[in-house]
Amino acid sequence: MSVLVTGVGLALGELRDPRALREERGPGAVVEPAAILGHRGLLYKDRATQLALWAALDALDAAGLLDDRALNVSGERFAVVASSNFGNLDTVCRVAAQIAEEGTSAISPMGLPNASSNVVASSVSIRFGLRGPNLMLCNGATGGLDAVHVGSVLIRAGRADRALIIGVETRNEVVERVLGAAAADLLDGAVGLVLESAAAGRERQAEPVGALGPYAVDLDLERCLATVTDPDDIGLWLVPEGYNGPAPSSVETASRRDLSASFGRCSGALGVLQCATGLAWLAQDGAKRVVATAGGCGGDPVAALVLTATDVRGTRGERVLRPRSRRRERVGHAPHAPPAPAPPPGGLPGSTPRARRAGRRERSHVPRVLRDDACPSSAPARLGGQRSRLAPVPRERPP
Amino acid sequence: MSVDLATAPPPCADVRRRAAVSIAGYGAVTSIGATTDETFEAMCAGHSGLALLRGFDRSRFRARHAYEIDDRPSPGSEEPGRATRWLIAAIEEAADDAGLTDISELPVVIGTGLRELRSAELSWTDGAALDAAQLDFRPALRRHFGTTRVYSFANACSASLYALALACDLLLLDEAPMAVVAGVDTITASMFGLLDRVQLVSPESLRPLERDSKGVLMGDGAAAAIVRRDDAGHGGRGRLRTVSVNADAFHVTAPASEGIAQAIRDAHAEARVRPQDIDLILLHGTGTRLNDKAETQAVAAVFGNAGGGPAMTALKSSVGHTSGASGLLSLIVALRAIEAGRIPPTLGLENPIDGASNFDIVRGEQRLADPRLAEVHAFGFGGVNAVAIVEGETR
Repeated sequence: MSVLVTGVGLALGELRDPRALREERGPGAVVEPAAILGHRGLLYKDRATQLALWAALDALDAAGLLDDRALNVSGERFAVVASSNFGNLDTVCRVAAQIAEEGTSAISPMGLPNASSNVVASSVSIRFGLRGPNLMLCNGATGGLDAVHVGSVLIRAGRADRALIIGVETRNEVVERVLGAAAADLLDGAVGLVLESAAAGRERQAEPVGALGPYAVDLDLERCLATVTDPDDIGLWLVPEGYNGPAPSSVETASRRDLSASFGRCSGALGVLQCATGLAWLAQDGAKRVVATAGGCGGDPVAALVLTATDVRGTRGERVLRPRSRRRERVGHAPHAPPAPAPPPGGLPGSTPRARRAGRRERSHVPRVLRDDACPSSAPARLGGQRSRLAPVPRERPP
Repeated sequence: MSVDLATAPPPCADVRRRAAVSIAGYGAVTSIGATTDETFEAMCAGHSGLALLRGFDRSRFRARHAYEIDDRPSPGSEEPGRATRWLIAAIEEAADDAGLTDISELPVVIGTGLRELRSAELSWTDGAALDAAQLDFRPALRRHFGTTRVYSFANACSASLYALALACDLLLLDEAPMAVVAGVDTITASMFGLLDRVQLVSPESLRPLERDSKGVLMGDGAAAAIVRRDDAGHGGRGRLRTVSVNADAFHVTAPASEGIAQAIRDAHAEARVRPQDIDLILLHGTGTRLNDKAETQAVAAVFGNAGGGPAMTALKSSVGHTSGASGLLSLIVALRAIEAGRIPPTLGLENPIDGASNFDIVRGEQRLADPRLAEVHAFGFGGVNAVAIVEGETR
């Protein structure tokens, strides 16, 4: 069963049009989520949740799934899979510090939802009425690509017809110190993707912007790429964050791009941002496939995911996934470009026995991942002794 | 890629119904036992892990009690990485129980409410070293087991049953023949403190479905299982009939009985069982007014509450609310209860809340019984619900 991407949403400051992801520039000036979402309901949401809600709104809207910001399809089999590693880290650390200083009577009870890391995924489901499986992935550098794959698994396993994927990270004093990075080098943003089964897309005459290809996880970058790609079929290789090593043979001829050069370190949001970038690239360059890779530093595994252009046709060859006759009100960016021509027949790479064998080979060997000098620094941080420097969490009264 | 839509299958709600999944082995670490056996026997004997707070500075909290695994190097001291340690211990026991010496090729799906956030807190307040990668458990599992493909879900208090659902889907889609599923949580100061802040009175113990319950208390714990495709029906420790997952889409902390009832009904439909086929329910039973009321209403809506329904029990009065570990821990105890013919009691339950007085809740002491089919509940913050149905191996 093929899984289509039918909407891309961005909460990346002033970068509002997904097509602009093709250009090598970053998010631009900060836009407050409340300016897009309205203030209602945001009062006690942490910043990662606010950014996620914005990206969700934008993605659902781009997919044509909203009427007046309300879902126009059933939410029963609509999954949410969010990825973030540091979304609620500041809440957790600041509340713990405040308790250590002043005791629990001093903390705001309104922080309770934010102490649970799944607040991002659950808040998205609540705002848009998405009652299918609701998952929060906190899975390190590969988390964004893993989240897209998990969404695909939920659809292919019959648990959902549609899945909204969100990748979000934010920056604050806690994240900066954990990663040992300056604020300017960290992403403050979110990206959303709407995945649909071909049948669900057909039912509502959706306009796909791409489709998911094979996915793999491996300790070795070259082997991971070889598992999901055929030689020379990749137009763009989105490299792991900060990777500046050589290109493995399967992506030797592809263009390459490190999104962290434009957006800073994206952590759990990277894979979703890579997918959005890859889709923009497919739409405008007419290439067949792009491959996104994440992880691989410090002995970590690498994840790889292929995205393909789509051209879904009916039995008589006519386009059955037509553009919607009535475009919905947009949140501020132009419609996606029409899908690129279809790649040649022959099925997706990685679904073949050869590719599956390649994925199974030599898993237990000594990791040969990324060269250390190809990775950003990741030395353990010491956050301690900072208690008294902390600004206290604002005390709010429950409404 | 070209898809022939005329012959493409419809959204295949039927697919997972055909998956035969068995539990090949399991493991658990709780405040009352370092293994599944120890935990189960302690539960059946009516023991509880309830004790005065040992890791936190008691002067900072109103609540004085929790269900901790007190394996700190010295009394009153704190150390990072404890959740990771229990997770590894539970997975080791599960692998050993399944007769596996090498699990490096298996995908590992972890459900956790609070990850290693306690280590982050300790780093922030006390200056312990923290590597961002240790917040999830992948690096530690890779070092210990050589695993490559690890998914760490932070899905609040239903996390480990959600993890089980995803693991089953990986088996179903032939992404792996076997998988490791685990749940783990350690008590964070922030979550314990926020619960302390919002509860009107500090509970001295956790009393599921009890009219006089004062609220929830957290517990430390880990649980793990090896699941495998079992089309030949060998069973192992038991068979998983289904795990149903959904979301209330209602509130960030409060549950909704409709969403819970829907998850139960979905589980019954997927497992092709009727309410009267269920012999035993492992309730989520957190001791909070909101959860216990919503769960009671949902159970009554599906099973009725005129009496004569399935036996029920709730484990959190023995081990506390182990959050992300609780669902899988309940599932393992359900399989153990079926195998042993003994159902552990719900401690501290004297006067059930409205609507639950006709429920057949095992109280006081363990009950000798012969259940075959058990239903396991786990519900989490944000309205994330999971209901599993398992069939055990009787002696």
